[in-house]
Order: sequence, then C-alpha cells, then structure tokens
Amino acid sequence: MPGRVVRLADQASRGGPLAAIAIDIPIGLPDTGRRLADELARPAIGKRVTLVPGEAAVFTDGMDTNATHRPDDGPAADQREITHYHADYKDQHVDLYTDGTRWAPGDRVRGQNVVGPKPDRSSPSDASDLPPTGEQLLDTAGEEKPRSERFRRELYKRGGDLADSMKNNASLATEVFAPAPTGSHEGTPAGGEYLMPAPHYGMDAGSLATATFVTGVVLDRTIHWLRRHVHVRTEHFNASD
Amino acid sequence: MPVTDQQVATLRALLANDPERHDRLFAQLDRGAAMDGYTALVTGAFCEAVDRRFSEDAPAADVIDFVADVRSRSERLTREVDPVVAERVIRVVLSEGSLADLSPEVVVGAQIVLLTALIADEHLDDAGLDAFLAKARKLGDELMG
Repeated sequence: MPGRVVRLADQASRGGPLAAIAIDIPIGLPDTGRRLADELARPAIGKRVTLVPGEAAVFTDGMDTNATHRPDDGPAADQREITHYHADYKDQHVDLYTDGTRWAPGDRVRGQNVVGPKPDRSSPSDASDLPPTGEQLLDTAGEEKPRSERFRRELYKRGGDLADSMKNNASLATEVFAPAPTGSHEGTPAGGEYLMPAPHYGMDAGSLATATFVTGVVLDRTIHWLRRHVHVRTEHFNASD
Repeated sequence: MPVTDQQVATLRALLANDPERHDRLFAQLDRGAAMDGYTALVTGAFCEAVDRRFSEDAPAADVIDFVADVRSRSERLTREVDPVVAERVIRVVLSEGSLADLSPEVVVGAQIVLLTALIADEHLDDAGLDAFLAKARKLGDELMG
C-alpha cells in the first residue's frame, strides 16, 4: 500500500502543490450513451474525467471511434498518450484503447470488419473505413527507430565525469535490497489466524513512579492515623489518671 | 575497446549486493576509457533488465508501480529517486519518449539504481547472474560501437 500511495502522490503532484487528490474510477459501463456524472464533471475538470463508452457500443463494436479532432481537444492524435483499459465486465472481456477522444477495441483483428454504424459498407475484406485498432493507435503515438541506436543516443553516456554520479548512486542502489515494508495488499488474510501480541508483564518507569506515589500516600495516611490514634488514647489515659 | 572482465566483475559485485567488493573494484577503474566501458555495460545491463521485466507494450501503470515500489523501499530512495526521471528512463527502453533534456549524470544515476532494483527482484543465482551479465556485456559492446 505505501508504494501505491507514493505512486498516486507522485502522479498527482507533478503539476505543483495540490489541495486535494480526487480519483476517477470507472466502475462499469453505462447501458447507453454516457454517464450523467461524467458529463457534469467534464466541464469542471476537463479530460481528466474518463468518458467510457456505453455497454451496447462496446459489445456490438458500434463505438464512435472516429470522433473528429477539434482544436479544443488538446494535442493532435499522434501526440496524445494512449491508455489501455483491460478488464472483465459482466462475464465478458473488455479490451479498449483510448487516446482521450477516441476509443478502439484492442482485440479486433486487422482486416476484420463488423456490422457497425455503416452496415452497407461492411465486408470482411474491407478495412478501409474501419476505426483504428489499438495497435494502430499505438503506432501513431511515436516514431519507431532502430533500438540499439536509440539506446546509444538516449541512454549511453560517456565520460569520466560520470564516475562520481555512478559511485554515489551505487551507494543508493544498495538500499533496493531492503524489502518493501508491505506488499500490495495489507490486512489480515481471510480465514487466517490472528495472533494477539504476548502480554508484557514487566513494569515501565511510569508505572513504577505511580506505584511509588500511591504507596507513599498510603503510608503517610497510615502513619497519620496511627499517630492520631495513639494521641487520642494517650489523652484518654491521662484523663483517667 | 570492448567491455572488460574487470568492469563486469565490478557491476556483478553491485548486483550481487556486495557493496564492499564493488567499491574496491570501482576505485580501480580509471576515469577514462575504462569508465566509458563501464557505463556501456551498465546501460546494456539496464536495457536487458528492463526488457526482461516489461513487455514493449506494457501499460504505463506497470512502470509507475515498479518505480513507486523501488522508492518505497527506504526513506533515502523515496527522497533521492525522482519518479518522473525514473519512469522516463525505463520508458525510453520501451521506445517511448526522449531523455534529451536530462543531464548524463542524472540518466546514468537512475540507470544504476533501477538496474539494481530490477535484478534484486529477479533473485538470480550465480549462474543466472552470470548469464544476465553475458547478455549485458554483449549489448554494452554494441553500444560502444
């Protein structure tokens, strides 16, 4: 759990100090259209609200995946980050990609057509009018370059000046061998035994001071009572004499 | 000049959690050509380790989770590992983004920490670590061209 908290805080605070962190969690698909809550939240906080497609659209391949890009939609399609949603919903497999404005099924085979909004133009061999697949969306997100050349340019750094950085970070790196405080799930496993901590029978300093004080008060009262009792008896004997 | 046995032994000591041996061997590397070979080996090892851990189409959340997990292992790691830099360094191996705006010291430093974490998580035995380093060495040699 600490790792997840760190992760959330890291993500949320990248834009600067925050007063609150709100988490948008799609908990299902609306039957049709979009959820009213999403529609109302969108004008307030923008594209951070996930506008999930309707259930009918997802399971019949009728999504509006070719939404027209408008100037206020933010970055152009080839500059947007692709998000992949992967889950099971109502016993059906959901595998979707979105770039924030369009949705595409991730498991559609390229070249496979379906009867969607334009059935008159659908045929198994005609993929020209199909919305992009998830892979196609991903392909447009970045330019592919030879891998080794990319590593050399981006990651391989030369020079003796790096020695100090490497030495310092090697010292830091040894701390990764320390186990994480907790795993991804905290709590007592269901059905597992809960072991009470062993009781502590010793006496700490605070308890000792309290006991000393109480004992002193009791002794003082006892001595006071005895002295008073002896004094009364002495006076009684004197009076008798 | 290709990656040398001494450079491999130095990195092996670090990845095997033998910091004293690593420090001793690292001190014997000179600051010229040997350091070039060592950084090439580290980069090769890092790319190999990222490839083993993440598929090329791994969702961003996997990388974020891993970096958060590394940072949560100690207070010093939380304080000194920049999550944005760490995630970017990993994602470059997965063919996403660029590190052109980062200094070489930052990039190499992140690689060292993340590489060590990636290998620590694999719990390799001696043979596994040797096999890993052989691949890293090969890639390091390629990087040095």
